[in-house]
Amino acid sequence: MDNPVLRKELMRYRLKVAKPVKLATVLVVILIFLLLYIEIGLSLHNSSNQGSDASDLCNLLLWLQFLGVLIFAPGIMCSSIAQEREQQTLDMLLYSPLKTEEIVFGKITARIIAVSFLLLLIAPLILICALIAMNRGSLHLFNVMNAYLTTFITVFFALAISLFYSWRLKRTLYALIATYSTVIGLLIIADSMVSVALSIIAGSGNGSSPLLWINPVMLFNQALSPDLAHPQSAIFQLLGLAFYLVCSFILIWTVIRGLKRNRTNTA
Amino acid sequence: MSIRQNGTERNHSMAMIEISNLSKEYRTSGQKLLAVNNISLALDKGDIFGFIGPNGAGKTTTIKMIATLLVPSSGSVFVDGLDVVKEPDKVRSILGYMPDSFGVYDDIKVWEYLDFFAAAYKISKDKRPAIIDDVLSLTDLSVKKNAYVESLSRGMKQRLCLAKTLVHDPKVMLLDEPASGLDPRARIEIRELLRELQRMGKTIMISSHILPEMEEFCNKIGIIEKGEMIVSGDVRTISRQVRGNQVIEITVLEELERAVSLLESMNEYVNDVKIMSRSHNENQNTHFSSSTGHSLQFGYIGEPNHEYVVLNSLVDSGLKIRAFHSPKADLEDVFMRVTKGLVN
Repeated sequence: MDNPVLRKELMRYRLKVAKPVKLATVLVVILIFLLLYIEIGLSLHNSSNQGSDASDLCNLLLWLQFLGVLIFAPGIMCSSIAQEREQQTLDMLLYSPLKTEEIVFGKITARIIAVSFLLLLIAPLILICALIAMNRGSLHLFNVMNAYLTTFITVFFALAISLFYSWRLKRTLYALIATYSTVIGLLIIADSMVSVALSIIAGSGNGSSPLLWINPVMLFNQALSPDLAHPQSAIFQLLGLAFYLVCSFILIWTVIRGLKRNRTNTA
Repeated sequence: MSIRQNGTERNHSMAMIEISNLSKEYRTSGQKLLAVNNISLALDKGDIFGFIGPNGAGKTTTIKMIATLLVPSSGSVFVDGLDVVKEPDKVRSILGYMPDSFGVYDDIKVWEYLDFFAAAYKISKDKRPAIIDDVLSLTDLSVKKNAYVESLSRGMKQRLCLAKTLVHDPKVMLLDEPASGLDPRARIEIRELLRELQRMGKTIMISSHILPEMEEFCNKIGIIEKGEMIVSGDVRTISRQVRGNQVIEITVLEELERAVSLLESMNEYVNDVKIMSRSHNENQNTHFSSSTGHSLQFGYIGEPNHEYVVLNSLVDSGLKIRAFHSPKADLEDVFMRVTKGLVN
């Protein structure tokens, strides 16, 4: 796929330093991860309860990975269109024969590649822990797969929200604030509070309002540690993920449509 | 006053840019604002059109409508026979547009920047390197090919933007204030580049406030004020019509008084004889001197292309004529005469 926007966006991630510095940076990163891998490997090897420890570590890493990319991804997506506007390149981009779909997909794909790169760094570690834990029967493959699926869909949703704000708002900073307010403030904190309040009003008292299932933390928790006492939780989780996907495509479609309008009205 | 070409009545295919009764209206807080009011214009292939007007006159709005970036409220614009409203993509493929305020991607290299736009214009991968080399050479940026864009000076970035505008070899170029904010050297470089484009046969519409520079390479101008085209057409014709007659300047080596009286006697051809207060030697000396001659100016009111009659009479009378020519149109003078300082 020869998408010029994708190529340009990826170029912008590279280190603008001399080759020896680049090489040194890469070597340092590899070394840090190597030491981390060795340390964890040795700890697990010496552990008296390998299965449980590996499972705990795997869960911890999956959580860290989930929260890390959930915070990182919107941060890099916010600049996608707002920065073009700030540096006065948006008009020229829209003036070119590039389709708005090409522009938007190029920008999203570049960010997904950046996020995937981050995931790839930690993936072998998770894989080692998961294999040990699964071998000892303390972790199910399905849960790990479900956690990854939930991470991807949630991050995709966060990227779509961020893209939308990046198009709608004038500055990258505004888009960043709006995105984090939506993801952390609205979807996580406000949603939890409203759900608990609704449950209390309804008299159930256990905070299991359906509204809770648009909370990414709740969805991920369900993916990693399924609530076996309430089998309907799995359905709610699926509905939550479906909701994220539908919202993501609506937001992306809105941005594409909006940019199409901008193409002939950039004054 | 309106001096218009008859372009609007010609076949679309004749003119490179053809604008008929073009208007653009904005509504801001319940009020109507007529940014462009009933403009008509025609430019042929190879024309360099200087679009002049004060800030807020409607130049950028007009250029954006030609560039397909704004939809006209009424009227039509054709570029090489293509309707800008109905076929914007085809128009964009033959247009090079450089906005008045533009940015560049600072964090990529010069060649990558051009390669990106070449790819955006669907130029095949194997042709791009040669095209990039060509436009870099044309804009005198070859030595900066591998430099990061952020390391370029403002003038270089301006030329890079022009290079980007040229990657798809457009027939028509719309340059909105290309030399604004540049230092004298960078302005001269841009001017030289525009001359080169002129030689390449591009049709160029350029808006600028720097009128003396426009005089040098524009063969046509349009003066716009408060959304209305006050005058448009050939620079000399406009200059003549605004001033009322054609001005001719002569330099005599001696006998200034006799030259004046001779000219004044030719009232069929000459009026308004003025002794110039400065000589036009190369040193711009403000004093007359017999070595450089005396300059005087008169209005020619005879038949067009019969100015030689005056020259012959002067020569026959034994006057030593050193120069006999129409001075360059003074756009600043024309601009000040036709505009009233109104803005939208």
